[in-house]
Amino acid sequence: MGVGKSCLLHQFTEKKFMADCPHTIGVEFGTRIIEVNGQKIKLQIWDTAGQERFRAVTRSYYRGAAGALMVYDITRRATYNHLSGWLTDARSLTNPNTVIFLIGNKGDLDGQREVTYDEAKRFAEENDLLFLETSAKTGDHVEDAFIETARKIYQNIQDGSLDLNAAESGVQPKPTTTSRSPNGASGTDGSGQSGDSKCQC
Amino acid sequence: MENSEKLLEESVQPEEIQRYRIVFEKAREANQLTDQNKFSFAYCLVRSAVKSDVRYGLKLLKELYDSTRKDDAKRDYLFYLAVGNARLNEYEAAIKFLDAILHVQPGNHQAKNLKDEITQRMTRDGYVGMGIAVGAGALLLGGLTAAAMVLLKK
Repeated sequence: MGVGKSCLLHQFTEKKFMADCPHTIGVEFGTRIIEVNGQKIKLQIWDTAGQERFRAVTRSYYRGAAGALMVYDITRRATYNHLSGWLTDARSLTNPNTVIFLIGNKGDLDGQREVTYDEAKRFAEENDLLFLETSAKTGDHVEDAFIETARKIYQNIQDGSLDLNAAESGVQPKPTTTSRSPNGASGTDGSGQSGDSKCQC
Repeated sequence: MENSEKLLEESVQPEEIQRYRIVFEKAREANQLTDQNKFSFAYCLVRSAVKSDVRYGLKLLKELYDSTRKDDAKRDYLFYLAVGNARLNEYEAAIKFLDAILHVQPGNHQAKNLKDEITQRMTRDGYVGMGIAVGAGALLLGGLTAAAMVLLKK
């Protein structure tokens, strides 16, 4: 059983809950166009396998990601305990401005909770991460998690802390844009913002 | 479908393969080869543009498959055995591996999508063959019509 990364992505792109979802093999991707401050942004989201076997594969996707969603399961403490290992990978393989969002999934199973909201919130604050509890099943806060990530990336571009010209910024402005606005490219090769969602299963 | 297309079309850069080759060979020399670094290398190889790389990757995956009893690991190896075979245009072998996954997990959409993509390619390739058959049929028909016309003229 996984922490629900693929289900989160499916809920975000299809607005449906995928029951009995098998473990992801390697990596899959999904896209969705959203609007942040009146700007259309195409998000390209890489959904990486959680199993250790794919660690090397996962690592190759960190580079060039503008954001990362790090997911654990609130009903299984072991998945929370592994976070620091994933965070080390994420920090060492991304650029300093990559937005990292911590997500406690399966919020609908509050009765089986093994990790409190406060504890995870504290961990997030100590490590400078954004944090939300979500439910891929009910859809609760799923939209917020992805859109907040995009908003934060957008903000980093606006205040100049994310350099679009850097090879691995993970953001591609629309080629024909006339203003300085960082539109997400919607061409076939437009990578837009990418977020790796990752965690152990 | 997009995901499956990427798997069959996109190739890993030679530098990346080389990186994993070095890790693999060093580990092997030191007798510290694990399933993990063997798999990481095989995963690169089967997505190489060089056919001999793909074949070597398939050999490693086969060894991995035979040496594990873990179902989820077996499933992952089967999937990339299918990818490698499909990239060599060995479509029937590829489908056999995907069917093995679907037999255990009928709802596995990654296996299903890749199978659909491969089936489409087979149909596309088969279409050429069918075109020839239709052509032959048309020729035959033409011959018959001509014969019939000859008969009518009499």
